[in-house]
Amino acid sequence: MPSLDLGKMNKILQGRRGEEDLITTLRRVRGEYGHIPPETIVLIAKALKLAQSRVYSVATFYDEFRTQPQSVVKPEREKRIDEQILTDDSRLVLRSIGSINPENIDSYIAVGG
Amino acid sequence: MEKITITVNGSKVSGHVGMTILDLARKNNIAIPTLCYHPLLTPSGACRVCLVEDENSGRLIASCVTPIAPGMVINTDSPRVIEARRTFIELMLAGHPDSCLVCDKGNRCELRKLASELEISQVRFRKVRRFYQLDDSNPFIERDLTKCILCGRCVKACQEIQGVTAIYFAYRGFDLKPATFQDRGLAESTCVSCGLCVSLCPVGALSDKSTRNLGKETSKVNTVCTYCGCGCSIYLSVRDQEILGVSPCPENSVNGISLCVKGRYGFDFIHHPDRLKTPLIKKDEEFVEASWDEALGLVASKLKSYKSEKLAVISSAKCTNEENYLAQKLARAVLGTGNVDHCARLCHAPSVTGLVQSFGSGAMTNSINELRDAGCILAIGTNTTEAHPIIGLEIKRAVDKGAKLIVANPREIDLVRWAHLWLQHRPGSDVALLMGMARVIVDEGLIDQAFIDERCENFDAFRESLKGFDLDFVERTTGVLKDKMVEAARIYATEKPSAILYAMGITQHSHGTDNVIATANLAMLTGNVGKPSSGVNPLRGQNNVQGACDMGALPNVYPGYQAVADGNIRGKFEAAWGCSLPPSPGLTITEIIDSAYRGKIKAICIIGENPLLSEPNIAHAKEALEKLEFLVVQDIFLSETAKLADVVLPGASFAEKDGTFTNTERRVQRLRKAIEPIGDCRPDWWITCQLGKKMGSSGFNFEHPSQVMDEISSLTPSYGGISYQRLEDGGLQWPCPTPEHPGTPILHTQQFTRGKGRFIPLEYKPPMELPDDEYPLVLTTGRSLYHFHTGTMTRKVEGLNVLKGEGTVEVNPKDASALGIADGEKVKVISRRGEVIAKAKVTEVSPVGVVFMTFHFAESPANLLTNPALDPVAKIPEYKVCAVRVERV
Repeated sequence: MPSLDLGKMNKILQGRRGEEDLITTLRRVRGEYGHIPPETIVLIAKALKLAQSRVYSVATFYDEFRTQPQSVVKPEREKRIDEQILTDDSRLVLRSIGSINPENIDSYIAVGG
Repeated sequence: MEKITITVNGSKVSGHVGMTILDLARKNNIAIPTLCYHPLLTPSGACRVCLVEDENSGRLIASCVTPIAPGMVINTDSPRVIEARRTFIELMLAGHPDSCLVCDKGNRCELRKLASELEISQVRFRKVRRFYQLDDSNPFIERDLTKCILCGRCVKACQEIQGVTAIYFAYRGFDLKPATFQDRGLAESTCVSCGLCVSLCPVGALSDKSTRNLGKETSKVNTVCTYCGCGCSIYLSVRDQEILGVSPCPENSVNGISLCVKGRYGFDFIHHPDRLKTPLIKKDEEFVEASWDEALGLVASKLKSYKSEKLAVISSAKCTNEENYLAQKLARAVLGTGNVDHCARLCHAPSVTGLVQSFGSGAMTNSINELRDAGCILAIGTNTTEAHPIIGLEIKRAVDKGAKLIVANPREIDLVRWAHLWLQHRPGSDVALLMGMARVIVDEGLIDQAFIDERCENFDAFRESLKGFDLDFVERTTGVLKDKMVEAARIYATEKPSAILYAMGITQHSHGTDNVIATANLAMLTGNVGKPSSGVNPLRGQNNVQGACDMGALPNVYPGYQAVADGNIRGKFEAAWGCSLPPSPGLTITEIIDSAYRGKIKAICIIGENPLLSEPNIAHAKEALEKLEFLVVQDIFLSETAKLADVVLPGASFAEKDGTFTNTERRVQRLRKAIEPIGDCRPDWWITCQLGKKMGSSGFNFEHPSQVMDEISSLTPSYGGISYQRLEDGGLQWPCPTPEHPGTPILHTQQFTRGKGRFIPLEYKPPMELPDDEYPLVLTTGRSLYHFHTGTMTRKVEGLNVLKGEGTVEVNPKDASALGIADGEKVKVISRRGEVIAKAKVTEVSPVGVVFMTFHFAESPANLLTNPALDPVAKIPEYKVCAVRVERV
């Protein structure tokens, strides 16, 4: 896995001092890296004088922030795509709506997953 | 304060503005159940169990967060309220596992208790289970979040009281849970294992591994923690002569509901199989078990055979006041030698020599719980959260309340996160830094002229000496930018009351006395002495290092710092003890070791000390002790030093004896016996008394330490009003001269102990050993939260060894890179006196050019490397600065 370029964090954290800057900082980190890498949480916590767990708390609370990158890895074998359906009698069932064949695609991106 | 009257359950009750309905109800003994609420935490209304009905609005409101308002009509147990509470408890039970039969929380479970009180016999809701992996990564604490009811007490306690915030609520909705950063196990988080969260958890989600399944104690004994100088009040839970566990004693204590990891969990050593249980006599290089009569007889006859100047006694800051009093009495009145000292020489001797010159009294001027109300705290040379964790909490509390914290430390210690300003000065440049700040304060007219005029002397000479500290020189010397220093000076001078805290970062230097005097000068300059939440506050390292000094286990003073050299004082003690006493001060501990090396001291009695790890330049100390003709050691374990002894006398641990300890804020507190001594060991006071009697003295006929205290108070003015009877009601802070005196929380309120506070001019002196081409790095030493002193006790606690099992060498990444050292790699640290191998910890906590080690570990003894160069007044070695080089192994 390529190492993260944390050099960008200096600019992001410039002038940010406390908890009031947390959300905007996380948004900029997301904008820069696509997600909130744990390494950045350590730097954010130090710059904003917050506990790492506090930053992690906010980063895991909002849908907008994710601490893991979205998967961009091709599945090794054919992957079935299921759809969740709520039936009239309140049962949750899975219905197969297709599949991804790694032979036929160059990359695979999970959306919302 | 404005009075507010409301109606609760049909009765009129009155409170004041700011009270919640719950506060008012509890004040009037009206029961409202709670789960998430705790009186020491900010209320959140999370659990909804404390709902009450507001008749006026018809709403159900959480009583813990709703302030009382005029005209409120509240029902605390109406059918609606009861039904709502039942529903909330049932919802919690629906998400709670049915593991009550095997849950260690048992009948202490608050959820189960509430369910019972609300007569919930079955849960109407479908079970919704959350599955979490059990977190047993921490050796003391187990987290089973399947039992968590999300009350948030643990999160708030960790944040608001402990100031650590290792856990916080993470995720959302159904996934919400208290989590560490990255949801790691506690052991991999910033958790400091204080156990506060466990003690506040209402259910079995958090539990103590050490007490699990042990059942209930038959008695709880209120006593004092045996570790650092905070002097935490604790309960020992006892059953069948066994210590089951430890809990804090919140009443009249410095610690409230808090303890540190050592205080709560560091007691396995009491019942450790390696405890010494019988006297040992060395025969043909092997220890042989002996009877007390035989061992004491041998010790007495050997000691009698030496002239007094060939003898020395090293007493202990881990022993009680009474034991230290008896040790110095034995040395002076029986052995006839003034060569008596203890480890304060190695930690806070400059606090005595420095503060006595400036103020007339060498102790913390103020009290621990005043710190929370300080406007500014200057913490210099103290890694408080590691070495004095409970005082660390007070500092964090002060910052929370708005105090400005200035941390002056070469290392980026934990407190830096809380600091308004961090002055990263070079090791050994404290005088330059403090005098530089004083210069700014004088130049900018920020001094308290009235205080200086009325209360102090020698100001003009001091002001003259500031000319040697222009800010360019100070910046070059300390490495601290001028602007930062100016800002620090202004904050200290203006954000009153300002308190100075310091520890061994100030004292353990070849100019330690000057460092201490510099803090006193700064405090007097700004009038920050004799007032609440101000002062100069040396934080003592061991639990009774203050008391051991108070009791005269020092070569130059009798109990109460009464000078040996004063003929009148000596006469008083000669009359009381019925003997003639040595007319001049004896040798300090470092001089005793040196004299043993040179063959001048032939026999030493060491009580509860381990100089083979605590002395600087250990190799020299070992040779010195090996040259002795006779060495007797009293200890609870066969320490590195005890292994060299001719006779080893097994002492009782703190849990096995009565006595008193004096904490760092001069508070004398009762130590109470919880269990009988293990095996055939005996309390040190008993051993010293037997030895005194065997040597023919009549001054050791004590049956109980309370009788010793009676003798202490009769001869020691500052302890004159202290007795065991008075201490039953809580501790007393000296000076307490008469039986009616309430004790003295703040020193020097009207006048200094010496009359006027004395400004003392200073000049900057560099450390005795600076880096050079051969030894290019500075080694500085310190303490870890998880271990105490030379590890005699804490290294016997398995869990503490799990959390920190070996000494490391902290190296800055830039130095590591230059040396080709990787994190975790074994390295050799070499000084002019020796070499030590330990794992490197590559971290930015240590600045470039500085490496750091703790001195707890016999496997990597940092004091093989340290410089024995002494402060000329206090005779303390320069532990904090020596030159080393680091090599890959």
